[in-house]
Amino acid sequence: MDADSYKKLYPELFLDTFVKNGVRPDGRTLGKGRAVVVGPGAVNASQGSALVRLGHTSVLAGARATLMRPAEGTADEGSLSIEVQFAPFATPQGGGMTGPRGPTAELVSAVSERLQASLRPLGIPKQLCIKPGSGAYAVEADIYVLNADGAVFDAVLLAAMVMLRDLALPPTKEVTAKEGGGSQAAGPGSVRALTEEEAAAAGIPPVRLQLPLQPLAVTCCMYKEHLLVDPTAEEEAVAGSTVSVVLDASAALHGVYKSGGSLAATPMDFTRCVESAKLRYKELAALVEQAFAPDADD
Amino acid sequence: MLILFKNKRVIPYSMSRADGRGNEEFRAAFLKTKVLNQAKGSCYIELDQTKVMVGVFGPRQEERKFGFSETGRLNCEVRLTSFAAGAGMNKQMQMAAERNMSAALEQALTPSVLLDRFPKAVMDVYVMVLESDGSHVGAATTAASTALADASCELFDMVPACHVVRVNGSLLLDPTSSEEALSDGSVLLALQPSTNEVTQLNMTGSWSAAERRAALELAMGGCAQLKEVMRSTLLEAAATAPAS
Repeated sequence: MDADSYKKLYPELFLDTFVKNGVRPDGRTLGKGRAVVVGPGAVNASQGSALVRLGHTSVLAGARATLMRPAEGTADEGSLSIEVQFAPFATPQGGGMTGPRGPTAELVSAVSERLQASLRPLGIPKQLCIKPGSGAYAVEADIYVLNADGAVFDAVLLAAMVMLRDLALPPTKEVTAKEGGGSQAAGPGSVRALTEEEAAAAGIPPVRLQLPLQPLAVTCCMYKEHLLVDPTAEEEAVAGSTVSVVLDASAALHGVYKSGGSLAATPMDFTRCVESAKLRYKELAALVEQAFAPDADD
Repeated sequence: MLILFKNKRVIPYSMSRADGRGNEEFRAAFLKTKVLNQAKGSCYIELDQTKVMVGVFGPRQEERKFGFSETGRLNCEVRLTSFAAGAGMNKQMQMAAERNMSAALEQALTPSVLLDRFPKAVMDVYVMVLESDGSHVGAATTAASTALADASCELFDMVPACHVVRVNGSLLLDPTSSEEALSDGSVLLALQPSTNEVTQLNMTGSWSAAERRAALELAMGGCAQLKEVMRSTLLEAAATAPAS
């Protein structure tokens, strides 16, 4: 029997053979993450975007900003809405989100819920306010999972962070009484976006978000007594359970998620996960910095 | 004479276009197969800012509601990202556009597939337009056909497809979205170049007989060029693939 058939028929034994010897099917050691690609500004048509790859797992994110009047109850907040979607070819069965063969709705909503929770401490809605009660940015972001080959949440959160950092909001100015008649929506006192020409003429740079923290996720899966960092989809399918840890640069925990599974994790296991996550975080954060370094834009 | 438009790009009234290429020239076409490790076959195509990814899955068992069939079926699904759809499109419009494109793709590709090789089964062709700067329907068809070949699906021929538009009386191959917006006539042609059989032709606008012939010839020439790119991409992938 060749290796491919063996893998299909006995996925667990296949993985077991490798893990016993301290390596994984793709040649990594147990604690090593996959190669990471961080590409800010991947989509020309959007104001902030990112393409992120963790091994074969790839995620494309793009955001569009418009102006809005803040809602009554939250006069000093703009809005940030992020939708996570799976491309129809993201999973081995195909089918995307809608088809019966696609990833379960639970997976999609779990990923997007964890994403919302991880971004909450950044306080972005408050930053999107331009003038309380009269003008704010509404940012609509879409995150597309193009290939879900394990550790999807890690890639989604990383893409979201890179996209937010890349996001360049158009500068605005207050509408004066004189030019108020131009558009019916903008009365005097409200704000409007400057056109690119105006901004260039006045030398006003685009508005950037302040990101006080950089929460990133690292997923490990537990297989027997072993811990596999940054698992592929095949490993996730065989593993007893997976643990995702969200942490920031100071190694403060923002979330720990363990998804059911057949293995119960002991406190010791969680400690090991967090330790692995800290190591992987440094690697990821360094790559993000490198992608945003001034000499990275060629 | 220079014609100025609202969008920043300007098409001079000469023989070259805003991006500097000739009227009968493609943007640099980039194709790559085996881009999705979990799909049976896949292809990514890039025509400058037009970017499309395709994954092919199957064959799998046909759903019961379609009944028994001695031939297989091709199931095409096209999705647009919100950035490809553009700001002017709401969710309903986007879904309608996706449905239309899916149906069109199915019609363009089905004649090229040996459907009787997989009776009672379905091949799924999933397309996602990641970003669009015009001509994404043609790009999607081209990529989907390449992905089918990559999935070792038996084909009569490959199906390259390209767009031609008419702007101010001149014919432009592989238009960008600003050129599409200015055009008063368009042609979408999908063809099996070996036999010169057309699998899909979509013309809009009013065309004189001479113009129509010129437009079709240009589109056929475009398809022949694309076919060469598809062929070399597949051959290259086959040459570098690990021997199994």
